[in-house]
Amino acid sequence: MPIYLPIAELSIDLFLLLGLGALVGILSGIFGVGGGFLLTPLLIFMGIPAPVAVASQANLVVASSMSGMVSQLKRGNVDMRMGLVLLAGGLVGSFIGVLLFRYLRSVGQIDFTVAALYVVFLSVIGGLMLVEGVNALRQRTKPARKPRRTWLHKLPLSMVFPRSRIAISIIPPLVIGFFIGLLAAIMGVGGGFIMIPAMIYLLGMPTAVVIGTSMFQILILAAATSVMQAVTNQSVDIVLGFILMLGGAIGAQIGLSIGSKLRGEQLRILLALLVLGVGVQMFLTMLEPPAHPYSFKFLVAP
Amino acid sequence: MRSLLFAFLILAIPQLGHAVIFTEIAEPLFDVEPDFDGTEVVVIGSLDNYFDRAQVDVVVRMTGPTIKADMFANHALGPVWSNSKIGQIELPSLLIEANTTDLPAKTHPNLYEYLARNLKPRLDTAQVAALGDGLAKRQQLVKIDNSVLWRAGNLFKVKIPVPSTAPIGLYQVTSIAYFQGQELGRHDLTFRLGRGNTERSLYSLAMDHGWVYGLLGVLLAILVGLGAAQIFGRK
Repeated sequence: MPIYLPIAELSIDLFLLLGLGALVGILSGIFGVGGGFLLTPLLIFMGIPAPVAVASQANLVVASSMSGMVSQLKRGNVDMRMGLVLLAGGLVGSFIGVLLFRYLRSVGQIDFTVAALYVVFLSVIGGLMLVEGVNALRQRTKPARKPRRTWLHKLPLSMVFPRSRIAISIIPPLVIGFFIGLLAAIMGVGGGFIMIPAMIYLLGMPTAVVIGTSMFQILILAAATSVMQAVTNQSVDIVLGFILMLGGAIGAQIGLSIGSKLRGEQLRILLALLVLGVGVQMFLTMLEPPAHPYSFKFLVAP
Repeated sequence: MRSLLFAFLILAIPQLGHAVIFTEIAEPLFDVEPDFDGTEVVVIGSLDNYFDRAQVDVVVRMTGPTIKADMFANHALGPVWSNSKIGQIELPSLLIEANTTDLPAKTHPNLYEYLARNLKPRLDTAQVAALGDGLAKRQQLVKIDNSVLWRAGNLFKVKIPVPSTAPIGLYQVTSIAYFQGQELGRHDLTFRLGRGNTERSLYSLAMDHGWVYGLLGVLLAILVGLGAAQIFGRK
């Protein structure tokens, strides 16, 4: 059943989009990631112009994060204080990211930049998570290792985060938030696939709280990014976003019930494999020689 | 003898003031509604009765509104392929040609040549080939041989598909009659692919009131998320 997307200016199968939204929602529910790192390349592959795909999927991230976060709030798995600190950095990063996105688009370097960033981040983070996850699974009988005190814990402006049972300077979460916001705007991702490992390994937060807090931060950040993209680049397709979010919100709930049956290490290994898979696929695409020495990118309205 | 007669007619018809070819579009305005999945433009035409249709080829060419495209030069960065923007061009967004027979190249230019003539600025052969292949992949550069069908007398009819990727705007349909490579005459028509009510409202809101549009999208997302959590939460 075709549906016309007014900003992307093409029609696409309604059920295909619903299914895609549901798939991404399931991932969001299981791992606490927005799923944008998977959704954006898939939308572009389906023929949706990159700027529209990047901008519109933020609405799906809002819906699935909202759906997932409500459940996490009920379980007491959201560290609001940490979420707000991450968010403060994230909003600044997102604002700068939207401007940077606009600049890169104007000089014709957005596609390569996005692809290169994907390959680098997905491969490095996926690889590290896989190694750590496998190690954790091997040593599961041993008591959980307490996070080591590093130079990050000696920075000024220390704050206690009772829900996460840690006391740490607000500088690292602010910087992580800023970086996530920047990537969210440029890569069209929620940033969960970077933020979750960062919160676990750099900040030393417990995995259960990390997922809920990540959803909270992603929700607000994606909402802000979506509005900024709509105002600055006019590339948000509300119809595309709505269909994706319908599938996504339902998928997130299914994902949550799957995720609750899995252990933390298993979740990490699965997410690592997924992240690595997407990274390798994107890298292979970059290795493929183009058919012609020249390529063209058709510009959508406006 | 017949060829001589045609040659005479080619010279004589313009002086006599006859239209060699005349066409009409069944529907000159198409509204793009939410269920739009491409459309079909039906062109009906007639060839002047002086001519024997068996001797004449008709070409109907549809040209879409002008769009812009960024042009990139691809280059290798070690094992990885990258590209650099080298300019911006203006091109017809859609070029579809229907004809009575698969005409030889001498008779009229092929679509790539025709495309090359309609580019601003002009591109070299390799660039046109890359552009043409890109458009063809998106179904925006298509040649449909033997699709102009003769009906009773000198009437002809052709159905030209307009893909769902066709941009909004004014389209030109040019019908040309050929005899042995010589153009006998042509007739131009236009039709408009416009946004229907829903599409127009959403597009205007997105372009003219970005803040409202953006907030509406987020509000919708929050409501959907809350709704899903509520429904599934009860279970």
